[in-house]
Amino acid sequence: MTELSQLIVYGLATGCIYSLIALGFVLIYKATEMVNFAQGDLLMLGAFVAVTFILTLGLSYWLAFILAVIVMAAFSYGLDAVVLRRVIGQPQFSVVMLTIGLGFIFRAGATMIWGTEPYNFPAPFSSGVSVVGGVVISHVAISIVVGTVVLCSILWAFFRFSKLGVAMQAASQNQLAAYYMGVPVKRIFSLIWAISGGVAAVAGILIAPLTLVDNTMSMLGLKAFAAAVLGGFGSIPGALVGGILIGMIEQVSGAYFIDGSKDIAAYATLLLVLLLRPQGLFGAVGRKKV
Amino acid sequence: MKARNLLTSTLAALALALSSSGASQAQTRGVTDTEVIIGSAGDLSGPAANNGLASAHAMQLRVDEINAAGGIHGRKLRLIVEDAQYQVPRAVQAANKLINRDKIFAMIGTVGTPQNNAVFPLLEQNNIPSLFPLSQARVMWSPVNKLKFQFNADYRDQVGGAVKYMVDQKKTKFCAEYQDTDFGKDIVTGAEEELKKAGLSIVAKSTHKPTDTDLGTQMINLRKAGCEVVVLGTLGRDAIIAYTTARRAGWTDVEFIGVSPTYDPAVSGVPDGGTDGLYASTGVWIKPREEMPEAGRQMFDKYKAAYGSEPTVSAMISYIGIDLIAIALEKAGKDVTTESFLAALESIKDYNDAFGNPPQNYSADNHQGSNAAFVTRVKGGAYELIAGPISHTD
Amino acid sequence: MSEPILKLTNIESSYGPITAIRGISMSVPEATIVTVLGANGAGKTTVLKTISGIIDPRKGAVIFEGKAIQSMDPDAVARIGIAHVPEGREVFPLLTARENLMMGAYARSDRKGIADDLEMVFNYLPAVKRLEKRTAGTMSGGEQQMLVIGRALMSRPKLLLLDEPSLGLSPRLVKEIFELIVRINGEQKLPILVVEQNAGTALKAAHYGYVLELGRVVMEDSCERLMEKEDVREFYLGAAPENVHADIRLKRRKTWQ
Repeated sequence: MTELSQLIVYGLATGCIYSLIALGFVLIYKATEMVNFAQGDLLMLGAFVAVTFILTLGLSYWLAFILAVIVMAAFSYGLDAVVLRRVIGQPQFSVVMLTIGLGFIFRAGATMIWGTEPYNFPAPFSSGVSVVGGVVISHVAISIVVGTVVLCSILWAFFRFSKLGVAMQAASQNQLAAYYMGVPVKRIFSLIWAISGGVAAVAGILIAPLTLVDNTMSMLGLKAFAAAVLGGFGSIPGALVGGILIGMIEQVSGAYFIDGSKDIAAYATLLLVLLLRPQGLFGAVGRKKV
Repeated sequence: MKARNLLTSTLAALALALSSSGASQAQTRGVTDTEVIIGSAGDLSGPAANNGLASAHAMQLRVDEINAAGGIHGRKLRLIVEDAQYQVPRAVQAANKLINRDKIFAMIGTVGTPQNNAVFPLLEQNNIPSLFPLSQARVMWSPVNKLKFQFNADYRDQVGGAVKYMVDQKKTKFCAEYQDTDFGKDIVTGAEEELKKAGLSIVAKSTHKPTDTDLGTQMINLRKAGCEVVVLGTLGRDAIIAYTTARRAGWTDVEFIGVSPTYDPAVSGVPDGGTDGLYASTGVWIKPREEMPEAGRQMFDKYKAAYGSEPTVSAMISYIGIDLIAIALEKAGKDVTTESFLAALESIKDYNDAFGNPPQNYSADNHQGSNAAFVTRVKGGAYELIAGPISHTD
Repeated sequence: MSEPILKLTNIESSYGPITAIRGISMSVPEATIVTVLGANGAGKTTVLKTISGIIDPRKGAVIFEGKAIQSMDPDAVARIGIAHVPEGREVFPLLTARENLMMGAYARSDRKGIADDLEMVFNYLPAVKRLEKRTAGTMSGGEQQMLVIGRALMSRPKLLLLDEPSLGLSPRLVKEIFELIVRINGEQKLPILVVEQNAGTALKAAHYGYVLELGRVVMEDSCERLMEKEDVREFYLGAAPENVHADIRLKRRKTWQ
C-alpha cells in the first residue's frame, strides 16, 4: 500500500509536468489549429535560461524563475509573430514540419550555447523530503504539484475573468467574429503562443531539480503529446487529466509489469483509448468555426 | 627499331615505378626526415565536444613540449585533429582524410565506441596503429590485435574493481540499474564476471533509456529486492537521477556505484550535497594537487594558462597517450617502422605517467597498460579516494 | 441633406473564384436603414465584407465619415465604429451570452458607458437577459441572432451592417428581428445597412434599397417605390409563380441593364 502511494506520488509529479506541456499544445491548437511539436523544446530552453540566470548571473531561484518565464514568453511571442504567423492557412503538413524543424534547431542551438554536460539546477527545496504515513514525498515533487495547481488556477482565472483572456477564448472559438469585434486576432494568437512558452518554461523549471538540465529534457514533449491526444486534443481539462493519467500509468506499469513496460505503457494506453474513443477522453465532437 | 625503343622505354618506366614503390615501402608511412604525423578523429563540436576539445588541447600541449625539447631522433611530431562531431559517418570521413591525404603514422584519441569500431577496419587495411582511444569499451584492446592499444582500465575493469571492493566490504546483495544499451550491458557483464568469482550474482536488474528523466519505479523495484549495492550502468545524468531519487525516497541502507562517466565534476557538484555518498570507479584518478608528481602539476598549470580551465580526465588520457607514443618512437630508433614502433610499445614496462597513475606494462599478449581501478566517493562536492588502485584480476 | 456616413464609389472586389462585385456605388445616409436585395451569389455579402475590411477591394473607395477605409484591417474597421453582424449567427459558442455581449465592447474602455449599453441591450433583448449565463452554443437560432445583434450594439457603433438576419429563422422570429431593427434605428438614430434575401420584410423595414444582380446594382430607390416596381414584385415579393421564376428572370434581366 505504501509502495502504491509512493508510485502515485511519483506519477503525480511527472504527470503534472506532462499536463503543463500538454496544456501548451492545446492552447496553441485551439487558437491556431497548429500542433507545435517544439513544445518540449520550449520547456528545455526555459530550464536552460533559468539555470543560466542562477549559475552565471547569480540570481536567486525566484527571480530567475520569473525572468526565465518572461524571456520564454517573449521568445514564443516573437516566434509566432516572425515565423509561424506566416504559415497560417498553409497545409497542416508544412506547419508540422516547420515546428519539428524548429525543435531540431532549438536542441542544436542549446547544445551550441550550453554544451552537452547536464547542469545541476539548484532549487531552494531540491533536497528536502517529508514523510507522510510512510510515504516519502520529496519537496521537489510537492513544488511541482503545487506549482501546477497554482499556474492552472491563475490561467483559469485569467481566461475566465480578464477581458484579454475572454478575448483569447473568443478568438479561438470564432476567429472571424472576433475580428468583427475589433479584437486584434493576430496579436492575440501571438499572446497565446507567449502563454504556452511561459507555461513550458514553468514546467521546465519545476522539473529541472529532478532531471538536471540538458537537451534530453525536450523528450518530455513526446509523452506530453500522448497526454494531449489522450485527453482529446483541444480540451484543456483533457490535457491536464491526460498528463496525470499518463504519469500514473507509467509508474504503476513500471512497478507491476515486466521491466521496460514503463516506456510503452503510455503509448499502449493511448492506442487503446483512441480505438475505443477516437476523439479522446474529453474530446468534443463538434467542430469549431474559423 | 621503333618498336624496340618503345619496349625499352616501357621497361624503364616499369622499373622506375617498381623502384619508387619499393622506396616508399622502405620509408614508413607518416614518417619523413623531419616529421612523424599523428592523426586524431576527435570531437571539436557536437555533443562530446567537451571531451574532444580537452583531449585535442592536451595532445597539442604534449606535442609542443616534445618538439620544444628537440623532438625524437631529430623528427618533430605533427598532430592533425579532424572533427568527427560524435557521428560515425563523420568519424569515417575524418579517418579517410587522415589516412589518405595526411598519410598519418598512427591514430590516437578517437572519441566514442561506435566511431572507433567503424574507423578501425580502415586503419587495419593501412596497417595504422589505433592508440588510446577515448572509449573505455573492452573491444578497444581485447582480443589482442597488433594495432590496438589502450592503457587504462576499461568499463569492465572499473566495475570489476568496484565490485571487488564491495565484496571485500561484505556486501552480498548486488543489483544493477543500467541503460538498455551495449554500453550499459557491458558494465553489467563486468559486474557479473567479478561476482561469479565470489560465488555471487546480481539479484535484481532494472533498465532505463538514456533519455529517461524519471527513475522512481526503478528505484522502488530495486528497493523491494533488498539490494545492498546498486551497480550503475549509466552516464552522469542518469546516475544523478537514480541516486537522488533513491536517497530522497529515504532509501539509505544501500550503496550506489558507477563507472568513469560518473566520475565527473557535474556529478559531484550536485547542489546541497545531493550526490554525497555516491561511489564512482575510474581508471584515471585525478590526485589532489599536493599528491601529484611535479610533472603533472606543471601540466595542470600550463593547461590552465593556455585554455582557461582545469584538464579533464580525457585531457589526461590523451596527454599520457602522446607521451607513450613518444617513448615508443624513441625506443624504436631512427629507422622506425610501424612494426618496430609496435614492438617498442609492447616492450614498455613500469611506465609511470605524469599524474601518478598506476604503472603501465605492455607485452605481446597484453595491449592494456593497466587495469587498475580507483574507487572514489563523493564527499562535499568532490571525489574522495576510498580504495585503489584495485586490480580485479589479482 | 448632409453627407452620408458611408459611401461606396465604384467598388470592385472578388471573394473566392465566383462571387464578385463589379463597380458598385451606394451610400448610407445618417439615421436611415438601407437594404441590399438580391439572389444568392449576387454579391451582397461581398459588399459587406468589403466595407468591414475582410476583403480589400481591387478598385474603388469605401468612405466612412469622409475618410477612405478600404485598406484597413477588419479589427481596425471595427474600432472606428462599424459593427458587422455576419451571416450565420457567428456567436462565440463556448462563452456565455453575457460574455458574448461583453466581447462586443472589447475595443472600448469606458466602464460606465459599457454598463449603460449592456442595460440598453438587455432592454431591447429581454430574451437574452433571461439567458445571460447560458453558453451561446446551446441557444436557439433566434436567440443567437438576437445575441449577435446585441453584441454588435455593445460596440456603440456609428454604423451597423447586418448580413441576412432572417436566414433560417421562422416567420415569427423574422418579424421580431426586423421590428427590433426598426426600433433600434428609430430610438438610437443608428444607420443600418442590411442585406436580405427576404425582400418583403426588408423593404417594409428599410428606407432605401439597392437591388444587386451578378455583382452590379441594377436598381435603387426608396423602398416605397421599389415595392411598386413590377420586377421587384415578381422576383422578390413572390407575385409570380415559383416554378417559372428562373425563366422570367433571365428574360427580364436585360431590361435592367
